Amino acid sequence: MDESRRLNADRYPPSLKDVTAQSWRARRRSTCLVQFPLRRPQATNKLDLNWLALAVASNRAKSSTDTIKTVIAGLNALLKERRFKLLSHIFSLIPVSMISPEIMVALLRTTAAVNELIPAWSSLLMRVRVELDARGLPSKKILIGLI
Amino acid sequence: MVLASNEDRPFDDVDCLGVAACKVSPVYEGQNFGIHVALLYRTDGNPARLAHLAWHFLHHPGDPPDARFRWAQIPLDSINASFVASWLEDRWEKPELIPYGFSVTGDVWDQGTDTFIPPPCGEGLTCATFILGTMRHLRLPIVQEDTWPYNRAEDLTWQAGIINMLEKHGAAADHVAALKNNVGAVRFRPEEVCGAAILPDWPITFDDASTLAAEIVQLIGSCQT
Repeated sequence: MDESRRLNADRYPPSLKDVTAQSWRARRRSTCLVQFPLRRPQATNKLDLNWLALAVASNRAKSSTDTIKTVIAGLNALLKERRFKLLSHIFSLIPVSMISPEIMVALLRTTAAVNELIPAWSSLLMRVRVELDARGLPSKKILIGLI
Repeated sequence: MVLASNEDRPFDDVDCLGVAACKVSPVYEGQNFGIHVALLYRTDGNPARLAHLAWHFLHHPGDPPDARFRWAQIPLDSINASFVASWLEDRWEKPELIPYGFSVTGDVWDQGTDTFIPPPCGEGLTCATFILGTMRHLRLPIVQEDTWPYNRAEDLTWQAGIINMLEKHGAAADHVAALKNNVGAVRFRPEEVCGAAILPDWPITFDDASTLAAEIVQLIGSCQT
């Protein structure tokens, strides 16, 4: 966050970039290869994307059910507003190596019915499958009904 | 034992997601008892709850389980089980107006709002198809639906009994009239869905589900309550 925004934090709520960057720093990651854009792909209502920061910042090994609920609610809010382009953008950038398997499943299952409207959905599915395999988890079993 | 009582194994022992069944009043003359089925779920720091469709427009998304129920763990992996439990918990205080019926076409939950999609007049869910529809919405099909038989004699009698009960309890005349046209729809019995939910390697075929269903009928039949 730059200095002027830091001094006016009440007036300027943190952007997605700020929130995710803070979360990632909190996890003491030395490098951050993925950045979310400052510009929103679609300009409409004010969005609450704190759920995304929570998803990325939560325990990589396992997420609490409270975190999963927050992610489901966040996704549903975007689906309700039909923000498929933004969802696709998020899905194309979300670092699957940093999120828990529960969050991976929540992202995919909550949006599965409209996956054709989210261009990056299939590539997220593939990335999740590879990541689960890399963690030694049974991807075929976990992704039942999706692959 | 295929299903445990709360005394044998407390409901709160459920690891995110289970299935529960209990004995209910018979629906038609000659039937000894009926069976009701529900999803049993528990999230971090909360007690176990039941999500079920009890009757016409009686959706209970978060009931505390009572001693009548017997339950078993659903052998889903912990990742998907915690996701489903979270999804159910998110709406535990949001009962929906779900009509009772023998079939419903398409998804039952709206993608985006996750609220129930009112079906056309004469369509609706049972306690068993409520579970199937919810899990199907989450892309977790419990059963292989096309393996279920049509027009089993006992199912036709049961459907006629349900229509009588709906009429007696004052269901809308147009709903009941439309429901009569749906007699003969494939029926997923509560004990079959309960049995399928307990088995590993979904989706489960009718043959596999019905084997365990027979055990469940025997067990529930022997229960005093």
